[in-house]
Amino acid sequence: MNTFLAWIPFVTPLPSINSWWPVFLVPLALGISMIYKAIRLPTLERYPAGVVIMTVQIILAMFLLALGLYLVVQFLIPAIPAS
Amino acid sequence: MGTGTRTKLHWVFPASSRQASSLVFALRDFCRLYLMATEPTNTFNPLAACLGWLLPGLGHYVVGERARGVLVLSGVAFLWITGLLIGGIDSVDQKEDKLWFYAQAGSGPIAFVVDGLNTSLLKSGKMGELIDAPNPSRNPASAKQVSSYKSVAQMNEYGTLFTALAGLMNIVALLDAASRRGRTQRSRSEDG
Repeated sequence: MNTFLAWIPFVTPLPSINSWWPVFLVPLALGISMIYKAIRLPTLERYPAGVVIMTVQIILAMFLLALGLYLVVQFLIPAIPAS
Repeated sequence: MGTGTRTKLHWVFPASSRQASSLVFALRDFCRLYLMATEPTNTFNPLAACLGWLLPGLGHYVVGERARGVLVLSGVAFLWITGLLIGGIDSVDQKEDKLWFYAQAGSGPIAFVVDGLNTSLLKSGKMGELIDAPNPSRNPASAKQVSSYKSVAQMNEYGTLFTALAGLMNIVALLDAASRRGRTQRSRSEDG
């Protein structure tokens, strides 16, 4: 927590968060959804719901991709015979 | 010569002037229908594209889609603010991250402003201090100094990614604004 005392917002990078960097996928997906839904929706009545749904879809897709890659690297590739 | 062949020749060489005129009218109607079918419904509006680059969302605003313009601006601003909070202004660097900068420049002048701030504040040593960068080759010619505020690793990558995605999404938005018929224009054409 002490490292945040030296943090100058917008000038220095956010300190001491290297271990939980995957959390930043949430604001990234949210920002992309905000712009995409502003363009694509025919009417803006369902804009907030559309943004939330697309954000969740992106995060779930990334989670499933990570899970798939984990299974391939940890189980499928070691199961291939070396010779 | 059979009856069918005679009928076909009848179309190519009309027997009377009445038949010839009906053929010309049919041809004219066909051309009109073809032009109506192939006429582009949306025309490209370069002014909206330019304004959308100068200020994200302004392109939508000028074509009458004001709410969309505000939402596009909010989205781009959100990605830029979050990216700069995570990675600092060192996330935008025209010299060291040239390819990423091309994407960031899609957001408009803000990318050039932040790059200028990075050069004038951090790289010059006005903020923080300049320290010797690692020089594995031990060649004095390749030795250089970097700011102690320089962002590295995931923080720099995330800052760069957020701002670059903001630029790419803004390019999508400004192309949408340029090819979109505004609400006023659309209602006018529907009335007419």
